[in-house]
Amino acid sequence: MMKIVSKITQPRIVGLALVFGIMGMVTLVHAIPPNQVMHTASQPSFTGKCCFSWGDSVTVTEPTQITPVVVVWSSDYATTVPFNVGIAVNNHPCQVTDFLNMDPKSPIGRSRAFQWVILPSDGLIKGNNTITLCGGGIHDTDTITLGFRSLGVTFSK
Amino acid sequence: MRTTTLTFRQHCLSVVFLIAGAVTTAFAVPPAQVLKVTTPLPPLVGPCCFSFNETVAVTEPAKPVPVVVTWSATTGFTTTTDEFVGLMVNGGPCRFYGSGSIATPGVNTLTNSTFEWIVFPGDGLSAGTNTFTLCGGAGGIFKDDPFNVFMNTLAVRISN
Repeated sequence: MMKIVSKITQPRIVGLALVFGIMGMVTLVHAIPPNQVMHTASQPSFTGKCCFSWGDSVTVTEPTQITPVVVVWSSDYATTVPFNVGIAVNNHPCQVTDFLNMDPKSPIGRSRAFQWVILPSDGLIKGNNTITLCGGGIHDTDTITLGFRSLGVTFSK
Repeated sequence: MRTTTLTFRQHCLSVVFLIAGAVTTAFAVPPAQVLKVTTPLPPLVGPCCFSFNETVAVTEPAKPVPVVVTWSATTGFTTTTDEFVGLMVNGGPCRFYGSGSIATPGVNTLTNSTFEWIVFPGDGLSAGTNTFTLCGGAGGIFKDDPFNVFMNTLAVRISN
């Protein structure tokens, strides 16, 4: 009797194992690769007129059919003058808005979160793409100090 | 008793639909990963850092991968001091995994803030269920002034 039951349930168990195995693989395949995200507690200061690299960067691997990606930067900062922040795709020129998006208001630390959507026409290529934070002030003497911050890039879905 | 015998093709189709269903379910956002609070929290009083009692959870695979936690909130009104917000991973100490400061907006003023925090396996993630609890507190001079948090959302995601 046990052998009969075993013969009936064995294929089902194998089938279920297959399903769970595939689900596990799918989860891993869609997990965020470590190179696409970063966080740091360093406190660099940047002085100068917009725009130049701020050093923080992440990379993302595009498939043959290039798809848009979403970049989010969330940061503490301190500045007494208006600043502008943007991103550079694959060392292309820094893309910033026409207005200064980091306001000074208070010399005490503030925080901001920005979300940028990068389209294939913005310079994305098949394979590895580097997204680098960039920006600057209005005058050569303008200074900003960053605090705790994170930078992440994900595919748009 | 009448029995039904499936053909090989029907067996194959059943497995395909089962897998398709399972994969779709796997991509749905599990309720434990998101939290929406529509009523104000009780005023949070005290210096940083203590738990705000808001928690989300995510299930990590055998080999943990990075997760992204996002908190978006309206704060302020009677808040007169700078505040800090961070995360307690699996009940550990309150830490900052990205930005976490909210400058005082001034009395009778509200502020909308959004923070995105990246938590790596090395930050204390483990296989199975992992919890992320909001924490923080006052960081300015007036550490006993209340920190008011109104509508807010907390979410964790593991997929790209």
